[in-house]
Amino acid sequence: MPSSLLEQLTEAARDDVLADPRWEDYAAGVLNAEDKASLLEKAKAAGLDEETIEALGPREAAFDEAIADAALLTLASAAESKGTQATEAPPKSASTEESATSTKPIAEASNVIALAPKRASRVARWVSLGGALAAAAAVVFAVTRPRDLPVYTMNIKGGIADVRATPVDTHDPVLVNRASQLSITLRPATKVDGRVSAKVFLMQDSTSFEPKVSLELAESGSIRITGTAQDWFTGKPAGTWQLCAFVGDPSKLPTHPHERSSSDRSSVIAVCRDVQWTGQ
Amino acid sequence: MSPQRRAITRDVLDNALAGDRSAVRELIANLRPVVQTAVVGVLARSRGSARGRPLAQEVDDFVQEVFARLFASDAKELRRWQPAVAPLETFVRGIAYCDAVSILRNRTTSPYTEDPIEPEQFDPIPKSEPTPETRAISRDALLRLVDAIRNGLGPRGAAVFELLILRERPVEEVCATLAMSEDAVYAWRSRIGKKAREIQLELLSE
Repeated sequence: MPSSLLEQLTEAARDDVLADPRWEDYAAGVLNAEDKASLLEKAKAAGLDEETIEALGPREAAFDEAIADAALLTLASAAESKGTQATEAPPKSASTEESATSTKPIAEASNVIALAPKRASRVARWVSLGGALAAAAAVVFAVTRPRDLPVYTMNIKGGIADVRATPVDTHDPVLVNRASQLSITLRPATKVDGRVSAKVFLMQDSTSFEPKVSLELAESGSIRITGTAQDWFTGKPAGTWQLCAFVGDPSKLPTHPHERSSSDRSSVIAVCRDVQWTGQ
Repeated sequence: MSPQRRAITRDVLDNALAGDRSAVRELIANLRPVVQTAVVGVLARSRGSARGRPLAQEVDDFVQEVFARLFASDAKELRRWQPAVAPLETFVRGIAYCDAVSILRNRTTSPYTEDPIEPEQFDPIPKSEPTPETRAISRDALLRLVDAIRNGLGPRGAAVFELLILRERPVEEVCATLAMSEDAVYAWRSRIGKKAREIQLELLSE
């Protein structure tokens, strides 16, 4: 019999059917039939509900792919912000030092961003429709991804820093002035099934508006959005604005950035990045 | 681990962090089930975690967020792995438990409670009360207590509680996972014991 309260807590956790190590193989989809039957029987006997068992189940390969894509982009982004290029890894026998001398950039190695400009894409902050758009979470890639849309990355060109070729941290706002011609590329990690479109909103505190933009849609699901800072910001106060692009089923795109509904969750995502308007 | 899943080696991790696509895919394929199972272990036993959404969807969101944290700042967390202490899967499992608890706390409590609670802020345990651990507690009550303790501790304390008490991980491994000294871990264990008794008294008095 456990004597202390903490020991009782430990014992309760140990007896939890969820602590069974076989769940990892189950989640990986590699548990053999015999163990699977035994595990599910144990789960049933322990009163584990169907929803939890489903949550423990294998995921589609596309889910792992999307995470891998986002990880690669995040690594590339970190390398970029350090002023270096991530490199294609050497064979396993090679040393770490050798890997640093390899010259193939990740932007070329990854087919996710094969359409990217010469510079590796910056990875935008991602937020979900269900999350606060103003959330300041410094999460680098998708926090929430609807099941029927892949991870999207956002690349903004045309900011002042781009022109100066100054290394910019991933989370720094894109600095724009009246002369800035902005080109925003939204690129899916995998080809999108079905038609998608996008809407852009700019938000600052409680103010928001939909700027005038031109949209170009590619069959792959990539979207290019262009516009000028002068059109967007003239008459607007200087400072940091949050640029959010909503991507998804054209019929489900919001008419207001804070509009959300449960049906949108599965068909629309928001990709956001801060933009610093100089006011001049 | 079944024969189909190979443990991640230092070379594979290094190659992945150097941007090798196949190594990243191998890494994710191996670690996603580890993270997913840890997240379910935390979420499925927490009240009000799913906010009316399907649990699987909530789990997927948490899994992505854990990976986002693992790869943030040039994968600083993953680079802390010490193969001599524990396999990568074990290391990541520990981080996933702690991250899941942290994300859950941020979603279910005021963001201001994320500030760590210093031990001196804990109220003293009333010594005249009967010893709580001598009372029989139901399993449901224990799980409710686990929830309350997670929310009652600061993020660091909740992480130690998860790994050391609930997952029975060795102190050395907890130190490596959380980048803490042994003394700090033992000090937290003591604080957690006090906090647990305090919370249990509160629950019993409700």
